[in-house]
Amino acid sequence: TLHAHTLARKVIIEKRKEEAERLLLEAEKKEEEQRAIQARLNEAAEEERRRAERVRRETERIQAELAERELEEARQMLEAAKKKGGAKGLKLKDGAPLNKQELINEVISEQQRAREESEKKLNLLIRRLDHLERARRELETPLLETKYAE
Amino acid sequence: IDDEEELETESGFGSVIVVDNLPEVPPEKFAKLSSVVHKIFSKAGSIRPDGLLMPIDEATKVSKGFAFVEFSAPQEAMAAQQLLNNYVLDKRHTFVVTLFDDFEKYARVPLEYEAPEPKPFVATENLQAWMVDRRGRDQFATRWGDETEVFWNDAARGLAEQVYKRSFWTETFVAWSPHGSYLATMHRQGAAIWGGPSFSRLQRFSHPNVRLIQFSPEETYVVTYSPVEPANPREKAGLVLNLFDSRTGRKLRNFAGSAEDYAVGAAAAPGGALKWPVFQWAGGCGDRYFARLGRGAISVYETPEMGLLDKRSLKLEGVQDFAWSPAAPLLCAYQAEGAGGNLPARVSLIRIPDRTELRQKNLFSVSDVRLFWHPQGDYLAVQVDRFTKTRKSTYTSFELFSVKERDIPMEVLELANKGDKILDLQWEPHGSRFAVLHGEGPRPNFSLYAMKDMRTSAKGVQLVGTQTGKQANCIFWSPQGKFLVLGGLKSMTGQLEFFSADEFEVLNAAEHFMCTDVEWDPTGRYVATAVNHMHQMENGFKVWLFNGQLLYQQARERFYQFLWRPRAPTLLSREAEADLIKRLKEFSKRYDEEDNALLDELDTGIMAERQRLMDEWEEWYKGKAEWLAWAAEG
Amino acid sequence: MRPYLLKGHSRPLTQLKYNREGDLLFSCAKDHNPNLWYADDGTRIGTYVGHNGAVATCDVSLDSTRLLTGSADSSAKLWDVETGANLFTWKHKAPCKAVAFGLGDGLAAIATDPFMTTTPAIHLVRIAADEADQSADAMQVLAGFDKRTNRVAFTDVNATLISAGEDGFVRRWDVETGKLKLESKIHAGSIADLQMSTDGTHFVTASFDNMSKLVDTQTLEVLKTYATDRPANSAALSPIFDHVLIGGGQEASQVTTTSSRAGKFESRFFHKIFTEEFGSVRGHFGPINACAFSPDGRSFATGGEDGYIRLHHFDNDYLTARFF
Repeated sequence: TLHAHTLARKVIIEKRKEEAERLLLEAEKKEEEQRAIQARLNEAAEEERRRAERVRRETERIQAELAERELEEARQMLEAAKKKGGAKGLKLKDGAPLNKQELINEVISEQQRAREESEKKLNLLIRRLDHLERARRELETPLLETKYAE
Repeated sequence: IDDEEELETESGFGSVIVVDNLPEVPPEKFAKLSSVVHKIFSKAGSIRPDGLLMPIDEATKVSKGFAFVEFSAPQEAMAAQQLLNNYVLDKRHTFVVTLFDDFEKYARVPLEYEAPEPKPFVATENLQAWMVDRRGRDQFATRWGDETEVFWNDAARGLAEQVYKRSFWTETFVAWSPHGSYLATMHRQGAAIWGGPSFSRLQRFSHPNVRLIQFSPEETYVVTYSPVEPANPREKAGLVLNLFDSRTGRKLRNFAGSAEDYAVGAAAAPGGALKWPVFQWAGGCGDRYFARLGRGAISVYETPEMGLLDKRSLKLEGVQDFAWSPAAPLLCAYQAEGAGGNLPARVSLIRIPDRTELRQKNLFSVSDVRLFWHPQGDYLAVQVDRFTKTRKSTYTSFELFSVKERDIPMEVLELANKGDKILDLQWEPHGSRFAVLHGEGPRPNFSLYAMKDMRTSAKGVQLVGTQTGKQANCIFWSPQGKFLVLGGLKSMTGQLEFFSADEFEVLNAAEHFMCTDVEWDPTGRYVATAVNHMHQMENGFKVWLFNGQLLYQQARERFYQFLWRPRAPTLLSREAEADLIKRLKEFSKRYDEEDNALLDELDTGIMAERQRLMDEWEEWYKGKAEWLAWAAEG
Repeated sequence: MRPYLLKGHSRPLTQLKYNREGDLLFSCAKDHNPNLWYADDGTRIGTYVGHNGAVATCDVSLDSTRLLTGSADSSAKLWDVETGANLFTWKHKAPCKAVAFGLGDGLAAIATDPFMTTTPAIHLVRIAADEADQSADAMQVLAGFDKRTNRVAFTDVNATLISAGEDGFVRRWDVETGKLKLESKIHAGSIADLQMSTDGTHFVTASFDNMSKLVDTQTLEVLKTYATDRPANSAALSPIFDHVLIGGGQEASQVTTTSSRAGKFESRFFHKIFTEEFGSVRGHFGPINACAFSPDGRSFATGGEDGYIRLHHFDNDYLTARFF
């Protein structure tokens, strides 16, 4: 019976061993799986990061291009305005940050000012022409009257 | 007889005409003739029932050879007179149609028209009164429908203030004399001039069937013209020109002849018709000389004798055109190539009365030449169109004479594109620039040239600038220079550009749809544009400030003429003018005050008038209270 | 003020009428079929089919149930506004160029042209409450003139009829006796339109003599004259402001060769009392033949020779601005 008992124990031990092995195996497998998942996640994250980086760089490039273009437009606009003579008071400051909207506003107000000035000049001219003629007539009147009296 | 009454007769026979030169027929042919005459005159208007009366000689029972026709309106009678006078019934009978009122006048004073007895000129009114308007305004005349009106251009108030108006004042057109002293009207029996504050008649110039009139530059003389229709196909068309003293009305000379002899060279229109004016008057010499183009000669006449200067014409082989300087008795003549091209064409400047040739230039391969004098006689531009080598096309260049300078220097100017057609060239009055519209396409280019550098006064013609692609075909300089209007008339539907020559830029672009006329006022402050009856619609005029700001407009059906009243040259000395410019500030201050007061007054006036109208309306409405109450009940 | 462009007529418009509430707009034109529209957005509600000639005129009853039309087919027709049914037809020997309902809808006037041997006349008819009882007979015939009548309108609580037409005369007729009480030649040319003020004390005319005039309804005295430089075809009075709306333009035969701006086809606004022009609205390609203010004065409609109706709602600027 001892033998039988030992045998039985052996079987039990064996079974426990087996069980422990199985559990170990399982745990290892699980760990393995976990690792794989983590790896995939990491990979995805890395991929995402790289994509974001690409997008960021592209946006930056476009922005830079836009800014450059805007600058160029602003420059051209200024040149055109200068050529037209409506923005004589404006200057492109070297190194100073250029803002298109600001420039537009400046050009517009400059043109407005120029227009007002030319209008004022014209009004003065209109008055001057009229007043010259009237003064001429006023001074001529006595001469004409004398001539008629003769 | 009181002459004033005559042109205004309202004897009640205004609708009646007298037809002379009818066949004299026996009773059996009377009805037939009646119906023929009735039919002919119905063309002009509706004849009143029993409105045709043909008197019969009681003794012979033969009709007397004239008739009275009564229309339903005076306008129809006038139309009949104009339409059917000289109507050829048959070989022996050409109608002479007279307005009954006129006929009466002839009957009453038959001798006056046979041998006009000049009446002394009594200027009871100041003929220059309009020149001393306290507010420095100018006048203009308009003719539309049957009306002729004279207005003040009241720019400050933005309106035209009527000065005078008269219906049926003229039969064809009106014209101001060059200094604005007279307004000429045209009538069947002659021309008349009117003036003074009341526009009373000052003088008449008897010239039956007169068509055109011209004043000498200083208003001393009047030239009238009438054509003489050939009586049969073998005869040639003739003309009659009469020269009068504008003050006394005395006829000083008569020219009559064949139209052919007068329609020579540039004096002939493409169809061979005579171009008006026949005579050109020399400038700056008190109306001393006038001249006309003849075959191979220019005939220069001398006032007041009215005879040929030194009894002989100026012989110029092949002369095609000539033009007087506006400032001196100096003329420029153009002679075409002669001897089959072996003799060159020639442009020469000849001084009168000594006939000295001051300057001359030979030109080759010339197709045509046009002469443009500067308004003050400072320069002369000669446009020369030359044939290309193949003679298939022409190109243009200009010979520019600086007339006021020693030895009259001459320059040649060529446009950048020599093939350009010249649409218009105009000198700047009181300046040294000229403007040219040139190009080949539908949008010509506008170029401004100066005869000297504006800053350094260095001499020599130079281009001030060119603007391309203009919608314009005519140039109108302000009489003071500095400003001009580029007009796109006729096919260009009335585009207008108000241009500053000093700035070389467009001050304002505008449109007067279908505009036919552009006229600067004599002071260069205002511009008028008009659409005349050449167009069926949109007739009327607009008045603008010189910069293209619209001041006011009038729409008028059947609009014929817009004429600023010219002004006599100023009596102010140069010193006085210079002094005036120095003192302008004090004048300006006063004028501004006056103008403001005027505008205030105008505003107050308008407000008061509106208040009055409102009160009047409310008063009227009060009167309706009873009716409204009754209606509400009903 | 972006207008609605109402396309429903194939020929030139002749008259436009709002109903009393101002929610409906009636239009008639030289095509044969009058139209009904929502006055708000110009949606077409329906068409009145039955005439065999150009329809020159229309009027809507006060309760918006009946429409009366007059046509070149020598008839006048009464319609059920809602169903579009032709309830009754008056057959005449000459074209009918003017119709009008009286106050209270029991009475109407139908004017006929001179035609062949027929002399012009204005027929006063009773409108029966039930169309089965409707009679073709006129209770009164107004005659004694020889030119076409273009507009008729009742006043003095149906005691008086006003007529205006080609001879430039405006006439006051006694409805009871049929006698002419007063007449006045107020235009040198044909009077094309006559529209009453809301309270009936005065009316406005439009004439081919390039004038529009404001006239005292009782005395026929001309109170105001509005000069335009073209024939006036239609004129309307604002119900809320002292404004007059005038539509017109050169005759069709004269405008074919020029651009639309040359013909002056704007609707023009004049101050009723100061007689000064203060605004204009462009849009039509031909002369304006008809115009009307909505009863609330916040919108107006114009009908053109071009066959279009333009429905304009004023923006606030117009309603709040002081023009003078």
